[in-house]
Amino acid sequence: MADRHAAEAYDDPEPMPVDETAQRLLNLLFVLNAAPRPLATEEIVSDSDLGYGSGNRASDLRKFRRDREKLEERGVYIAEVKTPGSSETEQSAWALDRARTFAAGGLVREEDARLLVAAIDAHLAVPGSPFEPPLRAIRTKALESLEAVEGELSVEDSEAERDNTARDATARDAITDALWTAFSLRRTIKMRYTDAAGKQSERVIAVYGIFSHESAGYIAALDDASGEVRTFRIDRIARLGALGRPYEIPDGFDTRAYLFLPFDLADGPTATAVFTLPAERTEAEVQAITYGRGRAQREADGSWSWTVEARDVNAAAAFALSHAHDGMRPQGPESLVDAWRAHIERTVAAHAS
Amino acid sequence: MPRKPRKQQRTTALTLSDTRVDRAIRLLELLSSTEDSLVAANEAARQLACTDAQLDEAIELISALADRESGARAVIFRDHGDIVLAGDGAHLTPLRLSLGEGAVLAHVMGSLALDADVRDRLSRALLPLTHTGDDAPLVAGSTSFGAHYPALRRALEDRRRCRISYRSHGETAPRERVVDPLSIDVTGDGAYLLAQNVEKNAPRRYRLERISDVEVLDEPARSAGHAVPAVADSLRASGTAIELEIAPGKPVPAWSGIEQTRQQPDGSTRLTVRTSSLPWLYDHVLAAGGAMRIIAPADAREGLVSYARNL
Repeated sequence: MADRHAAEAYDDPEPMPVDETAQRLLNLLFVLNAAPRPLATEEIVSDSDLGYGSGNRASDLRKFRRDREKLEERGVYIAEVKTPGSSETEQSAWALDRARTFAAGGLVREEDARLLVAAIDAHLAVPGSPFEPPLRAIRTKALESLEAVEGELSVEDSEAERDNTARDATARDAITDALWTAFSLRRTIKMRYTDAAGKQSERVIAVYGIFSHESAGYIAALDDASGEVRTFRIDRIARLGALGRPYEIPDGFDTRAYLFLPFDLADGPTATAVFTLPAERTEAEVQAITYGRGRAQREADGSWSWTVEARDVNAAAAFALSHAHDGMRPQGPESLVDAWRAHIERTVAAHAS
Repeated sequence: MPRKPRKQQRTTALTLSDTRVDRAIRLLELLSSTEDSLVAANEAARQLACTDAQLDEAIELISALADRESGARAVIFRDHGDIVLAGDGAHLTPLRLSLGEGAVLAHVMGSLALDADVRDRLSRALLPLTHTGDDAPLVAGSTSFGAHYPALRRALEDRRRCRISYRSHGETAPRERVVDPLSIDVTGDGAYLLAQNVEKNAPRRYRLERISDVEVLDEPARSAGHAVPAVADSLRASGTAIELEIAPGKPVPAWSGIEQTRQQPDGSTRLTVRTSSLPWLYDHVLAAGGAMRIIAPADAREGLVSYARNL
């Protein structure tokens, strides 16, 4: 008897409680997507099938406003439509803002999609990259938007991509996902962080930028504890909390400035270091050495001059020596040139015996 | 007194409802994008990075969608191993990318030097309308893909032979090589073209940012299927063996060519490393500022001193 009950319980489980908020949001999207005309406010807030119509109009209006904001966070934009000539007192009507919401069909060509997919796969292969969740979404959407226009698409997943997907779908890093969500929605997030010395702290951060560097992922974020934009290594984030208030990223903020070089890792004042590179070096080579930091420019004779702030002059000299075969040389300040010479002299002395 | 159950650790910034809405929208986009509005359930779970139970939850939410006025309703069901969306009522054009995804797309297009017209088409089709081409990058990476990725990619897809201009370590200017591209390999160290060097009849690795020109030849690549050995194997086969000593307490490098590491009684470390470029090794010894010494062979020691004095 007990066994039969157990079997019944297994075959006919308790129905899952309906997520009314999720259902209402999806219904709103569905109805507006299917509607041949804009819907009046009254039609929406009085519709109990849609999840409104509670009898308290003010409450339903608030709910409708919150739902529009929620859908906007998901990339679905609902716009108020004013009929030309309508009076101020006439009630509003609402429709999906299709241009803002939906990818534009017919623009992406098959060769574009192929190139983009290959490019995304190349980036997915970067070890320790924090870009996996958005890269995967872009890859799918690039293929979807093309297929929606052209029917069947013949871009196939490479074996490597299949392997990556299988591995990553199960091991997707929830912290990385949550950071991308906070960054995309421009909302602050509470973070528990363990620094390189093992010290734990709780902070509220506003993520301004995300970058990959030497097989690890980092964020550049405004940190409420210091009031400054700081760099945090993603794999040292122990925990993230709920989303907080909205924020804006300052105009002109450039994440490349946070791609650190060995001479950034010190306290104290910075010195303006100048290095040269031969004219034969291409822009791509210079970019690979400098990470786009500071200012690299061609001089009148074609050679390159790179000006960058350095916190540790000895480390800057060592950095230049590690690229000496590329023709990199220090120009100034004098302390940098002295440190370069001192490195060479110590090395020669160590090999004299 | 029974202990209070520990509050489950939050692993996402979104509420459960947000996540369910996202998942249902993604499933509708996915189903709408296929020719017959059908997708294998395991493929959908893979694309949405969710469990089968979470797929059921999304299907249930979608199946309740209905519009009283137009009579439209979403018809979605499982058919054996597939998920099917019937009728056109719930078809959904793909949504534009979010701000975060848009920043990543801009980074990918910029770092791979895609043509301006390709960038323009992709941007107009997919990026959020608020995104302008003038925005400073919010997403960045230190891996360089050079300036010729699109041409190399085309050569790989069309299996064509290429003439590349390439400057190797220790060379002051690029030299031309004719190669059959095999693949592009990305490591923590950088991005490489793996190719068969036609003249040498041997596989080689070319760092992408050192390739200064690519000409795709009207000639098929004839080396398809050739394997490029791992860096360590290649160095073991043809690299010069150097004996190095690292001073006590100084960091020991993690180069691919390191064959042996031996701790010494005085706290120093001895390494046997194989390298294909002595100037590359000399630079690293110099950068260590006396904390790294070449022990043997003697001509490499002398070579270092001579190289250092010429800097």
